[in-house]
Amino acid sequence: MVGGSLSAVAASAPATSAPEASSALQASAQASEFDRVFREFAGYVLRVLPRLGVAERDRDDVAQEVFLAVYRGLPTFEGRSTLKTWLYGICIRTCSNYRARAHRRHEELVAENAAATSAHTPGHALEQRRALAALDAALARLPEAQRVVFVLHEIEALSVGEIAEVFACSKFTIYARLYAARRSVQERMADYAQGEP
Amino acid sequence: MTDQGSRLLKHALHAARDATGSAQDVERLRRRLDATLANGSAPAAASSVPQPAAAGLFSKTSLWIVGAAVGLGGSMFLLSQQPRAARSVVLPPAASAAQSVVVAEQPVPRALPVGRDPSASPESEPMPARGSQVQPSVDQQVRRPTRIAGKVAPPQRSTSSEVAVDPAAEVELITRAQALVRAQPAQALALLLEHERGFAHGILVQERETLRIDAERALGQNARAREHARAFIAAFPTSPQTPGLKQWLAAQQSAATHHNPTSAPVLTP
Repeated sequence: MVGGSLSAVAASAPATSAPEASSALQASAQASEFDRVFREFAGYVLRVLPRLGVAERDRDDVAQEVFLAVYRGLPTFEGRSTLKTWLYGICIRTCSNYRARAHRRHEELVAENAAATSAHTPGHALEQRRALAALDAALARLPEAQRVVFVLHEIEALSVGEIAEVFACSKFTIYARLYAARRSVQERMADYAQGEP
Repeated sequence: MTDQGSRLLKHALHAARDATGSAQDVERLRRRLDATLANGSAPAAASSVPQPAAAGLFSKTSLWIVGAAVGLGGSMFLLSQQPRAARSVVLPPAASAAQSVVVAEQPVPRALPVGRDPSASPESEPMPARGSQVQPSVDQQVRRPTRIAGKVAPPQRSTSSEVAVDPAAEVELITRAQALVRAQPAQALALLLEHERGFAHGILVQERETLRIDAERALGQNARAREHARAFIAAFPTSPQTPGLKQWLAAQQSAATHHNPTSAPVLTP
């Protein structure tokens, strides 16, 4: 499937009738398109999930869930939004479901990410990981909608218009969320810098 | 936010943007997906795929929540959003009308205004925060420009400027400017100027400055737009908008060089 293996399987499957041949072709096309999406976005998905509140230990599981949703959704993707914003939407929904499940299980997601960054790491890398841990802690205290807007705008560099497209809501809403999130994160990073996490 | 906090946030955002799944991580995910899909076990329920109806419901709910938070929950929101140093300001009842300096416990560094001399930027008369405990009369005494010997003294720059901010008003101005920036860039610029007066160091300064550049470009004021773009890049080097502005400046320089190869470059390196 990924990396062309499923494409090969689909192409080699014996087609005994016209409908089956058509189905095989469709499957092959779907696999090919999915390969392309995976190559282009796998690194991004793995990067963004922790910022959206996914614990390190669960990142691969959630990333797999995202790409399975992509695989299922690709045949019906109509191109009304860009592939990128569509994929962002899937990530957001998957993370929302994940966090809801974790909440029901009373799991603490942030503590683990923060602990993972406290391991002894030399120099600049340590500083970056500590900064990232502080950011994750600040993001964890935001309401989910604010958190997503902050991550998409400040880290993923999506414009307000693109984020409004992801959420299917007004730009005013996005600006309002960005305003609240930015101010909250600034305050918490200042607290953290002063030793008051 | 303190300088330390600002630096920490810049570090964190830089690290977050640079972070990516390693080749090993991607390969591991690839193998997992291969195994899952080869077994034909891709779950059928596509709960993670955005559905238009669900998105619409989410949108309406979000609008209602944000509307309640920004509009109706004003007092609590405003108080909770004030910079810490600003919140701690206590104005003495006996403050002289001639003294227009607000003393904060510590300075509250703000994002730099771009392309303007901050000291020359007129301070607005901030609206009192709803629910604020500050006495209105004192509030006015310390913030309004004072008349000394028949002249209006220039508003002094407060170290805790914009103690009373109105998030909804700031958001509204930027949203309106954004809506007008392509079709009516002159009106958009007027709104951005209004924002600059009222929220010189607001939370949405970066958005204001990028909209200003867009409006100037739409008006064909490319020289001013370039000037503001350079100032933005200098003030916000880690902003997500900075790479795009750098690209635009480079394209402008390239076009200028192509148009007149013998002329000096438009942009300084």
